[in-house]
Amino acid sequence: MVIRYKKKTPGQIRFIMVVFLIAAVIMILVGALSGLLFGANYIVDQSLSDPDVLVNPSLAGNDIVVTIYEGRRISELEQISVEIEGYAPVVMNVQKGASEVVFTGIAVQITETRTVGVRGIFTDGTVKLLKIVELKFT
Amino acid sequence: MTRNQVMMIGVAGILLILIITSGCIAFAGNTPELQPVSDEHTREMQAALYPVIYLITDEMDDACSLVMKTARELDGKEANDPDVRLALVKLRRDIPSSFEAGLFDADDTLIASTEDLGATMEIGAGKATHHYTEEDFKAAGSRCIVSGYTTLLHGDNGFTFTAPVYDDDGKYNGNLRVGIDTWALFAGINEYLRNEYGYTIWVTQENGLVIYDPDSQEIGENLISDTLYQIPSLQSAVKKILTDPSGNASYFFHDPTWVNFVQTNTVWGTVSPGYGMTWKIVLSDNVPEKTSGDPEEMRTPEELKAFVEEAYVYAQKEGKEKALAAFNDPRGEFSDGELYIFAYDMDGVTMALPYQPGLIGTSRWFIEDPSGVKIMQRMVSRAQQGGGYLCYLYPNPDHNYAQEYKLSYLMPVDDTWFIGAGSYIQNSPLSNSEYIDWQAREDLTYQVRNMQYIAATEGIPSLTAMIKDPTSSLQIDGLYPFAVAENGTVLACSLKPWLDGTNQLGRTTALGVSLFREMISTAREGGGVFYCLDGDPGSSDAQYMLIYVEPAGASVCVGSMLIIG
Repeated sequence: MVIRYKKKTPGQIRFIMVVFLIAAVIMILVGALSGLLFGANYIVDQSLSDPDVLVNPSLAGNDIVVTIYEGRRISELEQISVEIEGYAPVVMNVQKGASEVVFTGIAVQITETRTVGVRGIFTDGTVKLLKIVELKFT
Repeated sequence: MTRNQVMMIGVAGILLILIITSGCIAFAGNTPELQPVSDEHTREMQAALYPVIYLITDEMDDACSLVMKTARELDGKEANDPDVRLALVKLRRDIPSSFEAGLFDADDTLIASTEDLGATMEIGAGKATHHYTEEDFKAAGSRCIVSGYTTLLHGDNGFTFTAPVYDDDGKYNGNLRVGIDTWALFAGINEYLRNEYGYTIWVTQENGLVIYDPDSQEIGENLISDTLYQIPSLQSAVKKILTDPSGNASYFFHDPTWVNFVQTNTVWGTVSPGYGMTWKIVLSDNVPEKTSGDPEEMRTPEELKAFVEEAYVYAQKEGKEKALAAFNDPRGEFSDGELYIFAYDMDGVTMALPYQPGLIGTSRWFIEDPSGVKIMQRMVSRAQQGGGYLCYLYPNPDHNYAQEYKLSYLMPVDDTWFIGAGSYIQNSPLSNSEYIDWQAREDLTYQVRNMQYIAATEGIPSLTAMIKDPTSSLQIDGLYPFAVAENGTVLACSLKPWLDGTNQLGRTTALGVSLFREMISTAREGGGVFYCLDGDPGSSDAQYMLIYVEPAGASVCVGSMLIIG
C-alpha cells in the first residue's frame, strides 16, 4: 500500500492557523464571560444566603421601609443604601439599635415592578449587598 | 418445615383472623343509622330551596337572552369593527357573574374580546375550550349552549354560554362566548341561606361533577367517582339526586371540621341553565351548631407582624427545607392554636399549612371569598410589595364556620415564596352572622363595568363628569365610584371630592397598606375586588370597604367602593 499525501502550501497553513486562532480566541472569550457571569451570580448568591445583616424592604405608600433583623455585623452597620432599578441610590444613616430605616418619599411617582437592592455600609468602609428583591410598585 | 414452624404460622394466622374480625366488629358496631327526618323539617328546607331555584333559573334565562341578543347584533360585523368590542363590554356589564366575553371565528379562534390578557387570551391565538358545530347550534334553537364546568381561557374555572354568529348571508360565521363565574353566581346566595335559614347549597352537574360548594376544595370533584364520596349512604343519595328532578334524601358526610361524620339532610331541585346542561341544586342542613366555647382572643396587628417576622428570620437562617418542616409541624414553635405560619409559592401552590396537610402541593391561586375577593392573588400581590397586612373573609370555626374578617400579615422570604399568619377580627361589621348583601355586590360589579362602557363610548371626561355629579345615571345608592390615572392622580372621587386632581400614590391606610397602588395594580392585572380596612381593626372607628376596580383603556383605573361598616 502506498501512502499518498499532498504537501500544504504556506497560504493553506496560514489559513488553518488563522481559523484555529480565531476559534481559540472565541472559546477563551466565551469561557471568560461565562466564568464572570457565574462567578458574579455565585458571589451574589453566597452573600445573600449568609448576609452580614438580615433585612427586608417593603413598600408603604411613597416610602420604602427597610426592617433590620439580626446579623453578625449588625453593630457595625452605619448606613443603608436603597437602589431602585432606573433610579439613583439613596443612602441613609442607621441609628444605633434601630430596627428599621424609612426612606421617605423614595418611591414618589414610581410605578410597575422594579428590582430593588439594599446595601449595607459598615464602619470599616466595606459595602455589602444585603438583599435584592422584585418590588411591585403598582 | 418443622413442627415448630407450622405452629408459628398457625398462631400468626389465628391472630391475623382475630385482628381482622375485631376490626369488622368494631366498624359494624360504629356504623350509625340514618334517623328519619320530620315532614316539617323537609317542608322548611323546601321553602328555602324553591326561591333559589326560581332565582337561578331567572338569572340564567336573562343571561341567555342577553347573549343571544348580542350575537344578533354581531351578525355580519367584522371583528375589528369598534362596535364589536363595545357590544362585548356591554354584555359583560349586564351579566354580573361573567368573567369575560369573546367572539370566536368558525375555527374557534378568539378574534375579539373584552380583554386581551396575554398568551391564553391573545386575539388571533386563543382557542375556545369547547368545539360546537353548526348542527349543535341548530339543535339548541333559541337557547344558548351551556358548557360543562371547565377551566376557561384565562385560567379561571366556570362554564360558558355560547351563541352562534352569522354573516350577512345568514351563514354560520363563528360564535359568541361568555365565561361565567359559578362562585360569583352561588356564593352570595349561599351566604344569605346560611345566615337567614341555617342551610347551605351545593350544586352538581348531572354527571356528578360538583360546580359549587361552600368548601371550595370540593369544587371540581366528582360525586360518583371520587374516593372522598365513597360512603354507601351518600352514594345512594347521589344516585337519587342525579336521577330524580326533585326530592329529599339523607346521608352521612363529614361536618365542616372534616373530623366528625354527621347525618346530612337534603332537598334538591333541577335547573336547566341552557341547552346541553342540567344542574341539581341541593340544599343541605349540614351546618354545625355554634361552638359553645369563647373564640380565641384576637391577636393585635403588631403581634401578627412579630410572629411572621420571627418565622422570616428562621427561614432566612435555616433555609427553605428546614423552615417548611418547622412551619408544617402542628406541634412546633410556629403553630399556636389559631395562630400559625402558612407558606405558599408565588403561583399560589401550598407549601406549609400545618392543620391541612392534604393541601400541600395544591394550587390555591383561584380561591375566592363570598364577595369574590381572590384571596391568594391578593396575598401574592401584598408579598410582592415587600409584605404587609391583608384583610379577607374566611370561615371562622369559632363562629359556626361563618365567613368573617381575617387580618393576615404577609412577608416574602425571597422572590419565589412567602409566609404569613392571620387572626379573625372580633367586632367587625361581619361578626355575629352579618354578611354582605349579594345584590349590593352585584350592583358594585354593574356600576364599575358600566363605567368601563361609558369610558369606551363617551370618553373619560364624560365619565369623570358623571362620577362628580351625584344625580347622574351612573350613581347607585350606597356605592362611591371613582377614576384614577395610572400615575396615581385622582380624576374623580365621589366619596372624597376634595381629592380630585391630587396624586394619591403615596396614600396609606392606618395599617400601612398602599391603597391607590393596590387599586392601580389590580386594574392592571385585569380587574378585581379587595377590601380596604382603615383604622384600628376591631375598634368602633375602623372603616371596612369592598372595592372593585377595572381598567378603562390603557392608563385609567375605574372603580367603586361599597362601605360595609
